[in-house]
Amino acid sequence: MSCGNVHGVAMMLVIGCMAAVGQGWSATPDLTHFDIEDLMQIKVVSATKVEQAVEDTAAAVFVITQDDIRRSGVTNIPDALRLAPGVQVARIDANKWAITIRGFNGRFANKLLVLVDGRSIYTPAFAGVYWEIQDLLLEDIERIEVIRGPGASLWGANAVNGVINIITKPARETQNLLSVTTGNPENTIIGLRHSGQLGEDAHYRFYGKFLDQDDLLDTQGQDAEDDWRLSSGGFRLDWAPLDRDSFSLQGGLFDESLQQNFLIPSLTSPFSQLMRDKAQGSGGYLQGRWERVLSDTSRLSLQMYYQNQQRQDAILDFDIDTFDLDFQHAFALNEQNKLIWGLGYRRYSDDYRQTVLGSVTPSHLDYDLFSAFVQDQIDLIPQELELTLGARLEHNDFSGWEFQPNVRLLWSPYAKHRLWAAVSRAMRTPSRFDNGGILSVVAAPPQAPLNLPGLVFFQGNSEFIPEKLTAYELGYRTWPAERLSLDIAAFYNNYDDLHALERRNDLITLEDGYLLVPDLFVNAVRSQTYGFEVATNWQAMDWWRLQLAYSYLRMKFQNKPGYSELIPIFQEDSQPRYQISLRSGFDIRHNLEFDLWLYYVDEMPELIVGTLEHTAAVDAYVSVNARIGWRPRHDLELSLMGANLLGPPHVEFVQETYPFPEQVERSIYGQIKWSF
Amino acid sequence: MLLVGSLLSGAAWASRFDEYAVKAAYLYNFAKFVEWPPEAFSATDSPLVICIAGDNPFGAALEALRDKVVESRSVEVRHMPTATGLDRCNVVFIGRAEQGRFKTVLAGIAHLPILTVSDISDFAQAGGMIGLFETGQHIRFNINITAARRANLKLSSQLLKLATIVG
Repeated sequence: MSCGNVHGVAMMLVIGCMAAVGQGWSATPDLTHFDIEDLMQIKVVSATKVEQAVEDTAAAVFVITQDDIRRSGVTNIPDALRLAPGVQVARIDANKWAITIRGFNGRFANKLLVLVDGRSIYTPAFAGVYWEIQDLLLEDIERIEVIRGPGASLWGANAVNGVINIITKPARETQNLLSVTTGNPENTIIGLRHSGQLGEDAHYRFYGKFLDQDDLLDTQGQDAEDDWRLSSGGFRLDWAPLDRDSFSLQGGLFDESLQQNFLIPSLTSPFSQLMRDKAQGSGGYLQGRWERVLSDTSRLSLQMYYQNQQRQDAILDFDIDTFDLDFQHAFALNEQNKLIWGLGYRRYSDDYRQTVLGSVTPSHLDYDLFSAFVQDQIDLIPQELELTLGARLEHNDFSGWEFQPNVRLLWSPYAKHRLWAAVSRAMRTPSRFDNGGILSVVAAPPQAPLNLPGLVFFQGNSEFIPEKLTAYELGYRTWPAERLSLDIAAFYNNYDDLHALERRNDLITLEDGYLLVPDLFVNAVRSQTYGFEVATNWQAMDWWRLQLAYSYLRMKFQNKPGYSELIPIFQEDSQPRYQISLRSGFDIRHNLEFDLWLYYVDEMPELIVGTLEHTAAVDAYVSVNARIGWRPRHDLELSLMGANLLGPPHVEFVQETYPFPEQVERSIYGQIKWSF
Repeated sequence: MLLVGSLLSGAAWASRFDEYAVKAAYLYNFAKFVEWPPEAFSATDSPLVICIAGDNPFGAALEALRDKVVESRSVEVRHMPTATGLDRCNVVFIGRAEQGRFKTVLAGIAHLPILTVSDISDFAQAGGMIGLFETGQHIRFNINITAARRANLKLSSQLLKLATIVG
């Protein structure tokens, strides 16, 4: 049987076939020759509803499955995101990553919305994500959906360049597990999970995780003293007492301590000094969700969570509480119209304390976010042409009302081809730091006429307004052969009111023996970015799968008129132009796997660091990674993994403030997973 | 056919298969190990009817069953989107999307000699006959013998030996 000869079959089957082939891993061969004992040994990939829908989505979507994570040999979520096209992932030090989609990368990258089971994990302090604390048990993740392009109308503010949606498995799909990973350089991760059933209708799991990550190298090849220790634990309880209702309760706590290196300003020569900072972080969350099936075509959900996040380091010292309430209702209005609408409310309550390098004012603030959205998916021609109209209206206390609409069109002219186009608008709302942050950044040597050193500091701006994006996207998916899928997406992003710094020489003040020089946050830059991404998936043999992802990105910037002296945060060559990821997965025997993963990241010749027009260059690099996995018994998996196997240690990124470049070196580690 | 003999030798067939291709093959295999009472068929050459009740999660995977034969009966696959009129079926598969109403569907055919199979969690515990579930990356099944016996179906010991018995 093949997808090519289902001529007379209902369209539904054709679509099902598309989905299965598009997914790549999942050939749909005739398995009826197998007897039951064979079938019990076969490994399957679950084609869940959402994954099938991916093929018919008018957006650039890439799904990283649990199997992708396992076979790539990564030990953290940031490294797993390297699998997706269009995502830029760069390690800054042992405990920090810079991650973005389609440009504007940095430690404080702020154009990405990241959700874990529908809970936003973005930090309102700087509108970005502390990736090091997103520390789930990797084995609990069902999939990571990476959506390139604005997702604001469905997902909300900050979904400007993309959305990363981390989805964990339901409790009934996890077993007891002990997972130990350790290697060289010293990096130990121990995960323990207990799963069980309560009565007829409820399943639960508890997990605990401990991580100890050793230093990276500084540019001299010495230990950079940036080790990292994290302990976390959590639970999930799923309960479906009635056919139409289901409840889910999740919670977690984490505590971490880490060391980091900052090149901070100094008022004496050489006007900068290395600071070895010890940071502490902790937090937790409790989240509840109720879903009710009203009918075959109508369902609603109500979700509520409370989240606390604390961090003390040389830059920021905060304690933020978030309370979020979210309601959604999806239903079919009639044969042609599928509607989703929802309401959201979020309250932040925070406290900031003065740090060595800065502060945020006011030091305590309670603020709210209200939103409402509606999306209509209209079958213009059933199974052939589908129009989606959506919009979100949102109110925040910093910039008032924001309207974020989008229009999407999906055309399926032939069974094996999908074409889509979209125009959307998204906003990045001001963060607490944009609004009222102060941070000493860099020192300048004495200059005439006063012959005093200068201390440059970032100055937040209560007039700061949202950064705006209008995005134009085009995509094409096809399945040229039964086991081959191809997904291409191109974009042109037009940004306005982007963040830059205005050097306010008129506001320089004379302090005791030095000058205080303010760089004010202003919405002073326009930018156009364009590029494309290609993802292909080829199941060359039943036992051999190849995956290629290619990303191309260009950026242009213009200063808006009316500013005295502008200092950019990004410029044309502060992002890699090309990225390539090539993966090969061999199944040598039914219980023996061999995986190779090669990725290439183009150079970043002019990464802007500090504010005195300093730039840093990061060279292109190739990373070769390999994994051998062996399952001697069905409940035991042993893996040997190596990352950055070829080539010398290399720098992947230089943080935009207090730059202290560090090198990633070769690492070899082993892993034991025992499910019991 | 995509698969060749070498795959069956067990040496190389380690790649992942579509969940529903595997489940379709299970359906066919189950049918081989069930003995229906004579009144389940109108004639000795009546086809063996496998019905998918409600949402059809199989996609093209069901195609594999179309020309199959079980005990000299040809296999016929029918999709019953409304999950009604199931009395003409010999096997009824209820997909996960029918979680909300599967108990109603089961109640409607409980007295008939129809093998019920589903991948809804705890299906067999809830009165269904064979529940498919995923563990690790494998699909296994459990059986509610009482439910089968009540419907006058005989399940072969070969089948029972491989299953987890839940009722």
